[in-house]
Amino acid sequence: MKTKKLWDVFVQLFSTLLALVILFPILYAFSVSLMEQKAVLAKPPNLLPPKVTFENYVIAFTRTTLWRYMLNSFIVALICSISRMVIATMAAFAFSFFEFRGKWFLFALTLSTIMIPPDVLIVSNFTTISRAGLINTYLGVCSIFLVSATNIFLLRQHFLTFAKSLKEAAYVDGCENIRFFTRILLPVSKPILTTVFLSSFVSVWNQYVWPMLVTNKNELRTIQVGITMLKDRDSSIFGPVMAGVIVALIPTVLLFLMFQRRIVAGMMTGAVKE
Amino acid sequence: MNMKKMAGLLLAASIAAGLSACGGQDGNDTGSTTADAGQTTVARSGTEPAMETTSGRGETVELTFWHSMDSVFAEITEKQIRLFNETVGKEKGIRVTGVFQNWPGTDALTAAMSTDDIANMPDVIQLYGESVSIVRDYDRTVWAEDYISGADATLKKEDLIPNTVASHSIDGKMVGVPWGISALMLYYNQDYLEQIGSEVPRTIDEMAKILPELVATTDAEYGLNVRINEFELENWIATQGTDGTYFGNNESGHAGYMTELACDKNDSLKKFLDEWEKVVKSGAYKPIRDSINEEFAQGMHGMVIMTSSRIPTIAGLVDGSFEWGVAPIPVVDAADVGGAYPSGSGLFMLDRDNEASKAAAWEFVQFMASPEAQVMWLEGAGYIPVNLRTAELDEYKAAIAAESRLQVPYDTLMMATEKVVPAYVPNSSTTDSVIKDAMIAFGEGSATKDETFQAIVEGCERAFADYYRANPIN
Repeated sequence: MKTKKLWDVFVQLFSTLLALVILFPILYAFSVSLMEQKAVLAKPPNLLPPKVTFENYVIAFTRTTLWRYMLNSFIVALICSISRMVIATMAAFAFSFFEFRGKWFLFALTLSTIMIPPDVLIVSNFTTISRAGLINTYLGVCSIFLVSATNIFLLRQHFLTFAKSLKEAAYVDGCENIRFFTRILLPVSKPILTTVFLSSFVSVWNQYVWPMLVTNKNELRTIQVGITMLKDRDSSIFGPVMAGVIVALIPTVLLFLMFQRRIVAGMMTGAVKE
Repeated sequence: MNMKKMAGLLLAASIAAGLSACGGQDGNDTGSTTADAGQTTVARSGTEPAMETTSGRGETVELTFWHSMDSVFAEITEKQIRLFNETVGKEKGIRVTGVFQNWPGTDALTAAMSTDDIANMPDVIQLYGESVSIVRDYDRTVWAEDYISGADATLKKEDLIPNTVASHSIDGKMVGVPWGISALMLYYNQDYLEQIGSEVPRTIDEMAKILPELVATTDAEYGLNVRINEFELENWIATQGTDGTYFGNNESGHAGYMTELACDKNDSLKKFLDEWEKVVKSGAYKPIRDSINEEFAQGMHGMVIMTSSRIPTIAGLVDGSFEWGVAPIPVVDAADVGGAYPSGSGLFMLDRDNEASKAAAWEFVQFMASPEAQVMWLEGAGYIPVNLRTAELDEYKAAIAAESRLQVPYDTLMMATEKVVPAYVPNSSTTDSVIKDAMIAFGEGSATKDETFQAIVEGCERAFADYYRANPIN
């Protein structure tokens, strides 16, 4: 009993320490965002600001239109996350519950797209978007992020944990495919859907190269592009950059806090196939 | 069921409509005249470009200017653009919109060039020397020479610092106009030099001699900190001889293409490495770059070598805690011309099949190189005003009175000859890495002088060969 208690305490302490180590970069970034320029690279280094200043946040918001960039990022990330979720669920439903000719080939083709580095396709994608007249549009920015093979794979693995007999029984009771999909499968899959949504949101939120390339109007830029405008190529001016980073982190952190329980549940699904 | 299908289709259609509509005013319009018909552009002669810019109906010419300025540089750039729009722009019916492109500002340009997507190209773009190779042979590049030589031009070559003109010329013709220019400078801790009773070193040999003393006598951890990249090495090559030396053949790419190094054949590289060996052997030299600004401001280094654009940054960081100054970089030989070459960026115009836009772009470029615009660089950027008439302005005199060190880079450029120019190096990013790695190894003592020489020459030769294999010269 005593040993178990000691072990529990040890595990708690270790977990707390590990959490601090993992969170340290973000905590330090927040601390730097409140430091004066001289204090950032002082010797010995300052972990906490010797004198708290909000000047860096003022610079971040006055030097760039950070709010507009955040709005753009939010719109793009939201559209892409919803699109990915819709397309991935429908594709995974087909791959897991139906048998049809070419199913394995199509699935292999879908997975093979994961192996192509995105940077290789940037110029050809830009050519396509440019010729379609989609430069400086939200659709142009979203275009290459609307589908994710990883999400299709993840959902397909989750759907495979459902017994086929469940669908057969539903069919016998007069439940068509679309009804089974919307009334039975999706409600039960909320945790994994939350995970897919959040991971897509964060992934698209953090995109930099593509939004930079397909927009050449300031009002359409995204938050990651906006943060690069805060840096100074001639000096290590970390304060305003960290302030921009903290501001950019807020939406994703809030989303995680809102859905954290469902993320953990979603990660464990699909682990065992029956 | 039909209702559901209808609802689903309507929802999908509305999302699609929303996506395509949410793109601003016109997704592909990055700057254009509002009307091409009825414009009153007039050519004064067969060889001179038209200078009037407004259309016959008095509509405004919209221009897009791509720049890669961030931080305080971006603020000053926007201020210059605003002043243009409120003055010359208002008078001539031109409005310029500045758009930030991440350094070096060429990603979006090369993407647009690959598809000849003129709708998504800028009218004016800021480019650094290493990016000039992208536009020098591009059909849509509008050479500044065509305009600056015209009788109507308000900006003349003789208005500019001489080697800034040479820096932006190919075969004697200006391809772009210098705009944000700086020079490589020696920053020194005056208090430390006084402690050891030394003057500011003029040659590398003098500098090498005082480095151990600085470390032994003062609080400095290192006598000198500089990481030698292509930029620094080119400066030390270019400033050799009585009137300058070329880094590469064909006048370092200013008279034809640079296809090979010249510094290995004219002995300038060898001479530099001979002298630099003394610095390395002093044991008081830091060859890598960490936070050089902060380290110098904290008194960690007796001297550092970096661009003059950091003068205001250093002034802010030091904040009066010790006396410091800037001087021209120490020369290889006491008889060398010295000075520095003008580094930084220029403005380049592109032809988007619109004569009114081209003429308007020239008006904008002239303004950005004017004394009124150039003096703004002294408000916190540390760039050198390229226009010689800037020194006549009260604002200039006031800025120098407030920060006298800002005069030194200007004087440094003026003492250099027109042969002291940056090289148009092909495959610049690769040659920069080759030089950086070789010089760090030399500085750390893991490579000898001869090994460093070979590494630089062979590495650059390979980089040039790779570049011209992919981009053969016609």
